[in-house]
Amino acid sequence: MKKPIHVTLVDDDQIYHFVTERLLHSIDPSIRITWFGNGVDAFNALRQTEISELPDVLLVDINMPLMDGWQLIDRINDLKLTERKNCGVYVISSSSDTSDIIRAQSCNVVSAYLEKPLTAEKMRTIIERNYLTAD
Amino acid sequence: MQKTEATSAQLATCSSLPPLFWRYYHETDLFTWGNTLNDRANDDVRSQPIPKLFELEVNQNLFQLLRWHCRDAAEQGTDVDLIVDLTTPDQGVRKVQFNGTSAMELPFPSDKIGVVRDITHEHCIVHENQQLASEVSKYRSLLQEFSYMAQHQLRAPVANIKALNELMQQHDGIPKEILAALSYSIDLLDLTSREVSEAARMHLGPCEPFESVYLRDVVLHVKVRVEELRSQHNAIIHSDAVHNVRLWYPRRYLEHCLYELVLNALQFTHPLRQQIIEISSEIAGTSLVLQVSDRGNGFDATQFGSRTFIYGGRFHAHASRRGTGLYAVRTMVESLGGRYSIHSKPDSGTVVQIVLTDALTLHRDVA
Repeated sequence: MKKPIHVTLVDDDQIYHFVTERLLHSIDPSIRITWFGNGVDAFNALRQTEISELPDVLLVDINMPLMDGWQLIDRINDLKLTERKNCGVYVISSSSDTSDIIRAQSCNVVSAYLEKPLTAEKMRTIIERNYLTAD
Repeated sequence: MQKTEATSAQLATCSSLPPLFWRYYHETDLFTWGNTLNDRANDDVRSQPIPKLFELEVNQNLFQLLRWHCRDAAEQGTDVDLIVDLTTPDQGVRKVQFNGTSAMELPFPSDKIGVVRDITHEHCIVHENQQLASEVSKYRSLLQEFSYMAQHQLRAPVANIKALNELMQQHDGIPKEILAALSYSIDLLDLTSREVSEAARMHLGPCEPFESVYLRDVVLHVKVRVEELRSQHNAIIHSDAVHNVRLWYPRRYLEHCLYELVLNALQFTHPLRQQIIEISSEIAGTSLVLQVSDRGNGFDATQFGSRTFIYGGRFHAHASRRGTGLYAVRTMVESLGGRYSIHSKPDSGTVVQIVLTDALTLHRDVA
């Protein structure tokens, strides 16, 4: 039996956490969710986590305290997280700024840039794509 | 003190001199003159401006006068800058600048003839320009902050409300009409927050990448986007052949502008005649003039023209229009140095022109 998909949210917005958790569990109640309120906490946790415990999907917000999403993605790049585990990294933001979209496209580790709100449809697409490739 | 006599030619040049200088010429006694300068009763004389350019003989008396003039002005809080071009047989033309109280420290010249030039006004302009630049910089900074707030602080809660609304739609117990009204209001809030964000970004300058884009592709794409509405109104959209032109312009801006203009034309279709929309373009040097004309309702452009392109400007009681479409067109076009114009009359259609400045890459590819 395949392991439940593990999704990590990195965002300081608690309502976003609440909504995303509901959406994810409406797709599959077995989805495992972990979340961090800023890039520093997320980075420290990811750095120390065993490969088997690393998330299959990482949803990263841009605008966060202490360490923003771009800084976190740079660190993830340094950690070679996506090489260690087949992890889909998604930049999720309420910003529709083209420069953010272009920047996300230029990052090798980023699978896609998605604008908030995350709908059930968008979430299902992410889960299905990563479920098929999950280790 | 040596009396200074001005020649008739010099006096002619000095005809516009203020009383201060006339008094100097007539009384020609520096001591008396100095007393006059210090006489509070003659404040009105001292406050006379020095003409911008005049020629007169520069001797020590006048030199002293100029020094006092600058000093007194500085003490009264006015900055006066004068330049004296002194002509000397051995040194040629030498410039001496008088400014504020430091003018008192200038050594007396041995020269006799010179030109006094008042550059106070020029300095004022430079100073005003610096102040304006500082103001512009301050407002730009405020706009950047506003843009950031609009893009992140405002968009984030709106996105959350949208997501919560989606969750609510899955629950029974709330009347459908309330959910529908809530969804409508949230969509409107979402749209407005996007527009505010977009407007702020556009006012900060072009934020879209420039790219090589064929006008015909953009026209085609716009036609596809408006097809449903065109079909509803049974409208015809014509476009001319110059669309083979290739532009160097942000594609999203170009498409958005054309889309808004065509959408506007479709929405104001005349109830009694078929709507025919013409999309035409004309090359003007390195710019492209894009025109969308229609034979729809039209409106009184002489009365409402100025309101057409402002935010929220509406001149029809049309519920679906929010007065933001042409505002966005204006902002996009202007952010790239372009222009816009509108001509319309009630019942005779509308013509909107936008000039895409320097949008041409200087060559046209024939399909």
